[in-house]
Amino acid sequence: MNTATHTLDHHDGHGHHPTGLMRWLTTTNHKDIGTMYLTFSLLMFFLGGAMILGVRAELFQPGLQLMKPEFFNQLIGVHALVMIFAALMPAATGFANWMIPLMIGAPDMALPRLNNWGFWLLPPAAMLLTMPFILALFGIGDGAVATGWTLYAPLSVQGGIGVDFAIFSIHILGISSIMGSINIIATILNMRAPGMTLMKMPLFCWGWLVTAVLLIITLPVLAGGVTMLLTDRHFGTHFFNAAGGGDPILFQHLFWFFGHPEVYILLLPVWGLMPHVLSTFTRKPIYGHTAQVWSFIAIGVLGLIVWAHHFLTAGLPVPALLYFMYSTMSISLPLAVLFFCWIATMWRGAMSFETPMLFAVGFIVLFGIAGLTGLVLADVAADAQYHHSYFVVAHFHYALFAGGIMGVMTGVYYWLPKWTGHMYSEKLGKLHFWLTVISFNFTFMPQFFLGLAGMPRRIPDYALQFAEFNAISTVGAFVLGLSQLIFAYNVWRCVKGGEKASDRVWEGTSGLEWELSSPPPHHSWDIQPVIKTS
Amino acid sequence: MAITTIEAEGVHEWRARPNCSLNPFARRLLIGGVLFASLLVSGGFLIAGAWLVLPFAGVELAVLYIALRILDRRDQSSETVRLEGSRLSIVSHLPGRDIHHDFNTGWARLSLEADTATGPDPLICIRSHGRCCQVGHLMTPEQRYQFYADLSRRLRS
Ligand code: HEM
Ligand SMILES: [Cu+2]
Repeated sequence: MNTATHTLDHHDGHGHHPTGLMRWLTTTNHKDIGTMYLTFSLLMFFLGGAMILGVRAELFQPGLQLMKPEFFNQLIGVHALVMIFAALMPAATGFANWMIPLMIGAPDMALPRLNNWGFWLLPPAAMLLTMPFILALFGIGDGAVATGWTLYAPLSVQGGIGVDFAIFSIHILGISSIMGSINIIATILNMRAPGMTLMKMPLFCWGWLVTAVLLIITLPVLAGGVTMLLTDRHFGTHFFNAAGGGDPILFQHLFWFFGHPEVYILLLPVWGLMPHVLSTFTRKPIYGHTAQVWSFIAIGVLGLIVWAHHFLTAGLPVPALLYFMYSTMSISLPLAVLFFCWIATMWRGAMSFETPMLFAVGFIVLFGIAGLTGLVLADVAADAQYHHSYFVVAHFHYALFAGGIMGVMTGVYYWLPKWTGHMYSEKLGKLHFWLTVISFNFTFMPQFFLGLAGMPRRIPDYALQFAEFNAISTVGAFVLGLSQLIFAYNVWRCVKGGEKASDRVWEGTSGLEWELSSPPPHHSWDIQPVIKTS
Repeated sequence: MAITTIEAEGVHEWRARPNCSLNPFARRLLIGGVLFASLLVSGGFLIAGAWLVLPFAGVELAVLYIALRILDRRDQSSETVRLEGSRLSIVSHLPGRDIHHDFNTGWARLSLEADTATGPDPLICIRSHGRCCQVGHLMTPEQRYQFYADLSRRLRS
């Protein structure tokens, strides 16, 4: 892609921009909002991490040592909700806010005010989710939601006030995501620089476009589902109550019709950014741009029609089982196209392994394990044994930690110099990477074997034969958790100062975003860039 | 935000329009596609007894529609400044207002003034005989400075 841009001297600081707290409360600048999303995400990542370290500590040995089973269940459920809705999704939205306008040559997002509201809904939602923990300390209610993040009825119909708080929190998070999606769709479609056709659009934007459409299609289903839960709990309806003519399995359909696309919602932005990183550090163009675009679309469409693979053991009719098995397995095809393109991009490239590249390669290997174990789980006969076991826990952590969080870290290390104008410490970055991959595998690899051996998930106590692997997993988890402090410190240092980053930052970059200064001016693309057709 | 300038014999015209890369056909396709998928899904759940999905989908689609309408209105807008002999005419079509002003170049005064309604960056104000007209809504701050410099230079010469 050939780009021609005109740069002018920037009158930085012209006009009166509010400062201090007001700046952040009222900002409509896409970079400020992106920064807020990312900061919020990092805080929530540590909150969710701290919760689950409590869980792993309890599981260090068989028997009950540290906490009551009820509290254990609350930690598990809130951990998952926080990680998914408050850490991973906001991180991806933060990337979108920062990078989409820079990448497509737009001065800002299409609907800046909506953008600000979308962010400021998040802190209250996170507070609602965690408040029942605090209320319980004062003797109000019995703690946070204890049903696991899936909120299955009838357990959730009987649960305490934590469920109500979770329902309202999910509603607010959903509204925020819808606002974000509408804004991203409007921006990507409406504000591309002249000459940037859809097929020339950077893959990161494509990943987000498909994500936003998926959110718009699936979020009403989740909102409807949890609202029906609320009316079942308080207003005498019987949507999910078999005794009243309802059907608890209906809730699973509602939840997973949202829940399965949600895993792609979490990952598509990462799949979008991967090729940029790989191409930069191999100094080669992205292999198979068009193939990847169509794979995103295919995964988005297929992702909408496979939801029942999460409850293959719930007693679905056999034809349905076969359908959901084969359709689920068919997702591996477009996913394999993506893997092929990633590897082909690296093939015979002049590779160098700076921290973002290390994370990208680590992502490919570990996320591959997630995909392969997913195929195993999709097999109806095999899933009869693996369902609700630690095998599933290991599978989705390879998908969501190695795929999602490590993908986000790839993006942070890759773009941080562009955002801040400073280089992070490469030494600390590499240390962070190696500690993360090693301890990650120590944490989750044993869980595959625990699952195969029959250890169920979501229990605070277990049979003696599972003791060794659980101990290994707990030690791994603590190292993993503590290693993330290095990440936070490295980011903090980089924001504060350090070696100046050049505008292109990395040797092999291509794309509009690298033509702006590092950090970019307060108003990006004051002068409209034009994409030349080559 | 694209500015086109037209130079002809004795005439100089600037025309600012919002940059819009979505043509009406693609917009209809998008709305239609999302509407279809969303109604298919909520219709399916309606049949399965989960009728509460439909209202949420309805509200959400309404918000999407309104957002695209707002953008639509913004895309229809334009600001044209035409300098012909001693006449400076300003025609602007902005959401909710249409303005046409003619000034005499000899009397027109230019200034950059911030307006709280449009953000911290100043707009270009053209005044004469107590009348005031603002331009630059469709320009980026950088383009406003450039346009301001350009126009003042031409008015002086
Ligand atoms: C080829 C790719 C994949 C296949 C075939 C697959 C298949 C499956 C199946 C069948 C289950 C249900 C297992 C059970 O509960 O018995 C499952 C669980 C799960 N998968 Fe995947 N998966 C794939 C990729 C992914 C990805 C990319 C993600 C996330 C980004 C992901 C996240 C999850 C999660 C979160 C769960 C467990 C949810 C829960 O019960 O709490 N999977 N997967
Ligand atoms: Cu799934």
